[in-house]
Amino acid sequence: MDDLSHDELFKEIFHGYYSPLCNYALKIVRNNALAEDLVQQLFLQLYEKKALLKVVQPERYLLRCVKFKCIDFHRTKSIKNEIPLNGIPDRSFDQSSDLKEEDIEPLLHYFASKLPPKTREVFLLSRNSGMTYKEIAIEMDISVKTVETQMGRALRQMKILLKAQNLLTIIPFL
Amino acid sequence: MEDIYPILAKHFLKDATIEEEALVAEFQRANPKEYQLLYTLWHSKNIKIHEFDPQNAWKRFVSNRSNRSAKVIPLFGNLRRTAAIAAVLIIGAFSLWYLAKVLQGPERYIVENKGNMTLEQKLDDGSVVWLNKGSSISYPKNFDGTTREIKLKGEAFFEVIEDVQHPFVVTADHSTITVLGTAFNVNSDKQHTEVTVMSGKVQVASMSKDTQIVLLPNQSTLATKEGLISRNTIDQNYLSWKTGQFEFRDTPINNVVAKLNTFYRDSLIMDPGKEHDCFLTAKFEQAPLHEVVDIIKITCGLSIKKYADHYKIE
Repeated sequence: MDDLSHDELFKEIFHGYYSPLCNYALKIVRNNALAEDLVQQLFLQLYEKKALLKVVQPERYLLRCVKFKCIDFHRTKSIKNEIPLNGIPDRSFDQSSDLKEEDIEPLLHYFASKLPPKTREVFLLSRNSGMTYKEIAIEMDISVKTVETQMGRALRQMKILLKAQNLLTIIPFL
Repeated sequence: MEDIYPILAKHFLKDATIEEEALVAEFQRANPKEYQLLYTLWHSKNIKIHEFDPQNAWKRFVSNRSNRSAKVIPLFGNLRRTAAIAAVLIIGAFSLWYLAKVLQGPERYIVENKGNMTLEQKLDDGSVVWLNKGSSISYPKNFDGTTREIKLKGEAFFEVIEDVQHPFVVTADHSTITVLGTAFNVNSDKQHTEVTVMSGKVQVASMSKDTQIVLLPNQSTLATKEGLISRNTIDQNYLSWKTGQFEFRDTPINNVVAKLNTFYRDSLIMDPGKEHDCFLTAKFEQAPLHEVVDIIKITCGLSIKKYADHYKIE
C-alpha cells in the first residue's frame, strides 16, 4: 500500500481513537498531560513503523499498546524513584481472555469516551446519577423511548467492545 | 428476534417486566460469560470522561513528526512549575472541601421501596437485601469502616456475604443485629423489632436494655422498649412476604388474611363489622389469588365479593 493511503488511514484512526485512548491511559497514570504524552508517543511510533497497516484488530492492538506504554512508564519511573510503583500491577500482557479487575476502570472510560455524544450523555446520566429513564427523559427533553433505545445502544456497543477484545471467546478445555 | 440489549439495560436497572426478565434469563443461559462481563462493566460507578481535543493533538503530532526524532515534546514536564503553584491552591481548596465533608458525615445511599413488589437490592460487598413494600434501608456509599453498617425501617430479608473482618450490622428501631455471614429476616416498627434466622448465627442486642442474645437457625426474638423476648417457636410464615409460600395450621381467618396480604399486596379486605369463627389449615405456594380465595370461600363458607383490585370478605 502506498504512503498516501497509510496517511489517510492513520489520520482517521488518530482522530477517532485519540480521546478514548487518553481516557484509558488517564485511568492508569492519573495525569492528563502524561496520558496525552504517552498516547502521542505511541502514535509517533506507530506512524514510523506503519504498524496500523498490518494489524487485524486495530482497536485491540491500540488498547494493548497504550496499556503497555503506561506500565512501561511506571516501570522506568520507579527505577528512578520518582513515582512509587504502588498499586500498578505489573503482569497484564498475557493473552488470557479474562477481564482483570484493574482493567475494568480504564476499559470502561475508554468505552464511554468512544460512545456517540447523545448515547454517552444518556449513559453517563443513568450510571452516575442513578436517575430513572423518566428523570433522564425530562432532564434531556427527549422521550422515554429514546432513552431506552440509547441505553440499549450503549450496552450493545459494550458487547462489541468486549468481543473485539476477545473477552467473549470461551477457551475450550482440551 | 427481539433486540436484547435495551431489555438487558432495563434488567440491570431492575426495571424490566416479567416477560422481559424471561428473555434475559434465556439470554443469560445462552451467554453466561457475556452477561457476567456486561454486568460487571455496567455496575461500575463514577465514570468521568475528560475531553481530549484530537484537533490540537493532531497539530502537535504533525509538529512532533516533522522533528523526525520520534520524541514527544512533553506537556507533562513543562507543566510542573505551574502544577506546583496549582497544587498549593488545590490543596487549600481540598482541605476546605474535606472539612465540609467530614462535618457532613459520610455519604449514604437510601433505598426506599415505594412500590407494591418486593425490592431486591445488591450491596457493594455482594450481600443482598430484599425490601418489603413500604420499607427502606440506608447505608454508606462505601463500606470502608471496620463494620458494614445498615439502617432499616420496616421489614427486610438479608443474605449477608461472609466477611469475618467486617461484621455486618443492622440497626432497627429496637435492636442492633450483628452478623458475619448469614441469612435472616428483620421486621421492625415503632412497637417492636422481630428477628428470625434462616441460616448462620445472628447476634441481637437491645437498644434500651443492656442485653443481647445469639440466635441460631429457626430461632426468633422480639425486641421492644422493655428489652428482648426470645421465642422457641417461629412463625412458619415469617418469610411469606418474599416467597409467597404459606402454611396455615388451625390459624384464625383474621390472621390468615393479614398474612396473605403481606404477599398479595393488600388485596383482601375483611368486613370489620363481622366476626368470623373460622380456622384454616392449608398450604399455598405462590398460588394465584383467586385460587386462595376459592379455598377460603369453600372451607369457611364465607361469601367473598370480587372488586376491580381487591376481594371483600363479608
